Amino acid sequence: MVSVLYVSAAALGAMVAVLAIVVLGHHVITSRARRRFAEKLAAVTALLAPHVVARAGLHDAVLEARRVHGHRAVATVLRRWRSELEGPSGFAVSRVLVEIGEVARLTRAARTMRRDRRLEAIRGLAECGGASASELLTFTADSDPVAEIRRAAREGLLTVGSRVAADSAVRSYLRDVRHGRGWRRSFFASIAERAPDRLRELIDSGQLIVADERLGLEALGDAGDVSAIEAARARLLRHAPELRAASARALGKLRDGHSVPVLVRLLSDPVWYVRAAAARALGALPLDKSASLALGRALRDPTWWVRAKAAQSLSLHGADGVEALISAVGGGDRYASEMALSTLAVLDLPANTRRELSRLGPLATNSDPAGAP
Amino acid sequence: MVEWLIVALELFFVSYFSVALLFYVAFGLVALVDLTRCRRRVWRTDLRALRSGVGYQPISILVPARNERETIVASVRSLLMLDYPEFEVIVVNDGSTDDSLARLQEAYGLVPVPMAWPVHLRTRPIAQAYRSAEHRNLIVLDKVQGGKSDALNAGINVSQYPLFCSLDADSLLESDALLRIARALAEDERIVAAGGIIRVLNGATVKDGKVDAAHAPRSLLLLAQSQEYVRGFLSGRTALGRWDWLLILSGAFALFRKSAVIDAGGYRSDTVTEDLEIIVRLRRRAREQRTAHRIIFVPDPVCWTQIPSDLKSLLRQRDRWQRGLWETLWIHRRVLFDPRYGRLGLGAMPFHLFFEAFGPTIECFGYVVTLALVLTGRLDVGFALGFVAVALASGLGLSILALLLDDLLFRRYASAGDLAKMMAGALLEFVGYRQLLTVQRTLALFGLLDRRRRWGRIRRTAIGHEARRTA
Repeated sequence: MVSVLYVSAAALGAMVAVLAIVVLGHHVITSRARRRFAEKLAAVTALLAPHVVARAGLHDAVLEARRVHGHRAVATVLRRWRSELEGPSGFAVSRVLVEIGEVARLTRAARTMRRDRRLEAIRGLAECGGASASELLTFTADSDPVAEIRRAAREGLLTVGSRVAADSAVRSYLRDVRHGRGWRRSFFASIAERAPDRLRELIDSGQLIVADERLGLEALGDAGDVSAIEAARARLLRHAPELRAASARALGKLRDGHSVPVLVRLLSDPVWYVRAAAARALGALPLDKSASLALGRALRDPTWWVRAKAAQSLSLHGADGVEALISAVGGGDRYASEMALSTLAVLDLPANTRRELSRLGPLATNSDPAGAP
Repeated sequence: MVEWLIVALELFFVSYFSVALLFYVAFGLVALVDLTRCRRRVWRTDLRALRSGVGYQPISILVPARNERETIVASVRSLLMLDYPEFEVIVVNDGSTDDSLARLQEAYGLVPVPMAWPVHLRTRPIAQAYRSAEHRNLIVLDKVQGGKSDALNAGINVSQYPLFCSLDADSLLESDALLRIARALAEDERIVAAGGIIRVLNGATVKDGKVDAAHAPRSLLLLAQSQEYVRGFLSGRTALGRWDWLLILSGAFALFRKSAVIDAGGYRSDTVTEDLEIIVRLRRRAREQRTAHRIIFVPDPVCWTQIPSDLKSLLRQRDRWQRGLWETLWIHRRVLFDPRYGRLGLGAMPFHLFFEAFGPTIECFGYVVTLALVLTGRLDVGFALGFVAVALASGLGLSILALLLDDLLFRRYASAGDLAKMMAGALLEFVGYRQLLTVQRTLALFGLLDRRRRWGRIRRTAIGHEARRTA
């Protein structure tokens, strides 16, 4: 027993010593390699950036950069840029990535059976964009057994920019989401940015469940796609409250002034979060006197969230909004008064208005009005 | 008879040690596989999508603070600079007796505001709410002291967003930490809570509210703790998360779905480790109500926090952790070994009971037995030395494996010298440091009887460029 313990301890000790040396050695070697690669990336960035901005002489500059700094550094920089760039600059970078053989290299790498390597290659291809990889990306998005790889391929298809590629991405998503593997938010975020037309069609097609339709609408609102206004308006009076709320939020983000009357009507919706969404959306839209009054009435809503959003929105509407808040302070409703005071306290109000307010309620003064927003 | 007793004890200690060792080796191996995969799951495209403001969920950051004058201003400054499309910072001043509030008022131009909010959770009264004239997303609540749980509950009431992040006032978040941790909750509705990794701030160089460079601390006490954190988070939490055995997400940095916490009744004030208890309760409720839920550990969002730099603070902290563990196990004792609770009842709770709660007591008992054998001249010196050597070598191996993982996947320590120091810290951890904490954790059992022993104060140092010097 004792000898077994000694042998085990000696073996373990030796392993630990070797492991420690390996860790330290690996650290020293790879730190140097990482540092050199970072220097190369910086140099390549400095060399190519002017050509990408000017959209001229990029091909020759890339060849020169490859000769000096190697393929890996150049391809890494171009792929990073491609994933950030839209429009002609993005397509120009995609073309160069094909010309220097990066797309071909990644296509070969994507054929491996090792899922980590395949994932890396498909992500690389997704970053490259352009039509040359779309066939492989479509095949992968449809049939790869690993959900994460299918998702990477979908992202790539959305970067390609063609209608066919976007259709393939949607098809792949609809298949995956049925099995709970859709990465829903990131899909809607990507498609809203890169193929908003296709997303609008998808929302109108009735193929999505309510939760997805809601995410799609919100993503279009976040992405600022004004052509989604019709789709959002059409859902303002739908049966599902989530859809009404999402539509209200989207219209607020898209600053659709024509929807004000419907949003004002939604301030009386039976569901509180629809009222809150409508109150918040009205904050971003130009309001007439009657709409300001309706928001003022929402300060007396039985739900705190609605009161809070109404007060915030009124604070964004200049003199009319401030007037509505001030009248709520002296209006006799305790909740409306507190909410209005809370909002007014951080506004940069004229001195006489502040004096008037301090007579109505315990409003604190900003010690440094110049520093107020 | 005595000989038989000695043999029985030897067998007991060897068996217990072997089973514990098997678990910890398994943790290391599971972490090796899982972290490598996890590293690949993080794709900069996802972070870019969230950063662009499409498809994100806004977050309320709750910062309970009591007598944090040294760190609070820098900490809030770093929070206001976070890279996330929409968030608010709610600092809850929990009856500080120092000038924490005055410092915040001066630094951020706070103005008192009358505030109304929905009372989801009962808390001690809030004396005054403040908003910043310079930062619209900063709210400070000045509250009657009620403890950290009460402060968090007050923050939950006031918060307006669907997710909240609990954060210690002496911590610094890396600028993309919220993006990284929120990504998981945005994609999977079943996830009700996620925790990030806690790294040691002592010794790091801080510049403009951000950690500029990580270094191994200089003092031996800090070095041993740093090593413990690396192993505990990278190896322990990763593996426990993988097996769905997680019972704790560090209160220093965790993200929650607010509705789930409110439904569960918020944080309890009658335990000293509210971060442990809330996770067990969330999991327990989900099982009882048969709702899909997940609690996960995400290794790449980083929160830097100060650890105790003096022995007294360290012992107090560990005493509190151990008492909190016992309290939580006692509160939820019905879950233990109950198959209806699945992995919680049959895996997570028993593991924590046998190896985390009873572990120090059994280890202490081992020291006492060894001492008794030495005094009576019955100690088998050869066996004892062999046993200690195996324990030391295996413990060191696990620590260095965690350092390897950290270096391979995250590379926080830029110099090989710092890495070598951390390895030295691993060795030191087993010589004196561990034994001291074992005794303290055993004594914590007796502390359970004394209800007056609550949190205890940890001495803080200012966060700033001098952090390196003070370590």
